[in-house]
Amino acid sequence: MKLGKIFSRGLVLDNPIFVQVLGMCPTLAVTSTAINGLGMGVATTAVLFGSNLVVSAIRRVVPTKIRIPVYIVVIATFVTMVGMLMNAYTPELYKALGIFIPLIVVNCIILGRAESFASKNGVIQSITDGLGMGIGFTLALVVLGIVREIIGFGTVFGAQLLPAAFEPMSIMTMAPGAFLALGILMALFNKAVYPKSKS
Amino acid sequence: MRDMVKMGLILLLITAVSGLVLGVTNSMTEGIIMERALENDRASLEELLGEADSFEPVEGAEIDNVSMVRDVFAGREGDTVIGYAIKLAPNGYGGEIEMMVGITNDEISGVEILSQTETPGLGSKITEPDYTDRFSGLSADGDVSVDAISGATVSSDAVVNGVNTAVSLYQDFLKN
Amino acid sequence: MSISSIFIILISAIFVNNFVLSRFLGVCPFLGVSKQVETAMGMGMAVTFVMTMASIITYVAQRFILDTLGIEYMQTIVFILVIASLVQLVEMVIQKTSYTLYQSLGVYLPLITTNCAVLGLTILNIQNEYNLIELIFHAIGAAIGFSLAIVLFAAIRERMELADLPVVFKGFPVALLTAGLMSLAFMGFMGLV
Repeated sequence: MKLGKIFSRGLVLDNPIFVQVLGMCPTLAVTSTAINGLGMGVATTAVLFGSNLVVSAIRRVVPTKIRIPVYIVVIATFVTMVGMLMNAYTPELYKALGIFIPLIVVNCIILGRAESFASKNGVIQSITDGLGMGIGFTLALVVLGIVREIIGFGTVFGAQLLPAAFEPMSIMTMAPGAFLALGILMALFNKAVYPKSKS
Repeated sequence: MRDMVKMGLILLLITAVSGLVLGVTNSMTEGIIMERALENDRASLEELLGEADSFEPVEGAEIDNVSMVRDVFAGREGDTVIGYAIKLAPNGYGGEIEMMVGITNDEISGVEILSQTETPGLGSKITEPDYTDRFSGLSADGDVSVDAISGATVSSDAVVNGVNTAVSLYQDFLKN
Repeated sequence: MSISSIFIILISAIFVNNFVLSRFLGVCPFLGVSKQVETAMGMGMAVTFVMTMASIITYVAQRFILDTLGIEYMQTIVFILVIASLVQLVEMVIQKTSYTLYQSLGVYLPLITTNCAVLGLTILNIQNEYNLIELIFHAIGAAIGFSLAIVLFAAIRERMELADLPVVFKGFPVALLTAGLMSLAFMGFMGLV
């Protein structure tokens, strides 16, 4: 498969959130603002990049029987590193994302890519795949974050967008708003990507 | 059997490498993280204990045993302790409210809310000076009471609870 | 520590801070394994068992290994490995001892390793500085909360199969909307403790 195709697959047609419906916990939990969504997306992409790189590099020396524990250790190592770096250099974001940083370990997208792609392909293909999936994930998080932030706070990336007369609906920043916003976005995505399937 | 040993060794090797990598990253970032945390506290400390020129953490089993108390700092002016700042985290309506209470001369010098997840527009009003100023100047020799924010009794109660815990820690332990 | 503080931890974990509907932990199995009430119950039981065991073991690992050696930064790796091995062990044990139990729980067990509710719970236990008794009740509360949400949700989805929906809403979108409404209902428990 061509590299360009591997990369672009994760963006729309195989989008981790809208199509594969993976990694729902961080998706719903951290997208109350666009900047938090972006932060989580970038952190996850960094981990995906690193774990796909290492997993594909060591794929020939790891016995099949213990591959899952090995992948988990590799992923957890990258997650911990990303967490430490965020704590040091972006403390605000680190605090906002909280427990969902260590929980990147159990984001099914990462183990899923390691098992189904990186363990079978070369290093270059694997990091391309990691980047594509990571950016697709980030895009979806940012879109969801923007929608929730506009309705919930009247701002985008912290900048006032709607006039002060608009009363922000804070329900969008809370748990129910996350489910409702993602449900509606997913339906719109289906409508846009598969227009033929409409009834 | 030999397979088992081999697999065990591989797993051990990988975990060892990961431990090493993390150890290095940790030693690189540890200092920065500590400094940032101290800097954040420092801003609040200066707000609450303005006259002090240095701050130092106070430790002790008496402090560890009080639930919700996180840290205690003593503010010094030269060699004399002029006041204490107590960082605590009572439970509000939507989770923990992280706050700091300053006490000087048996008086509450101020209350700062550091972080909270209360209902936006209602409980979140506890962060506004309009509310926190109600504590300033109250005597720290017993439980305090201030008017609650209407529609946010649980959040207000949590803050009052935090202040009272700080006051009783001060009376029972810090004062002496 | 009193009975009331344990009761508060329990109620808080089941209703107020329900793991799925307010903390967003364990949403993947919540959406994935909730098409029938029966499978939802199986998943709930498996999770309850693993959560309680994992809480105790990770607590011991944290106190006696990580804290003593001063390597708290290895927490994520150690915890996830504990959970993964625990799940494997449980699977092996029930496969050998009870065929019926294996039949009902077996298929869910591998899924639990990547259930973020379990890892999330063990990390929260440490963050909240719970002692052994408190964290056992926290684990039980979290597990009941998870099971409650997933079984209720499955019951709603069984009915929804019959509903006439626009095609674009079929499957996950409508499931998410339903979850949103449930989450709204659970917000009514806020401020209870």
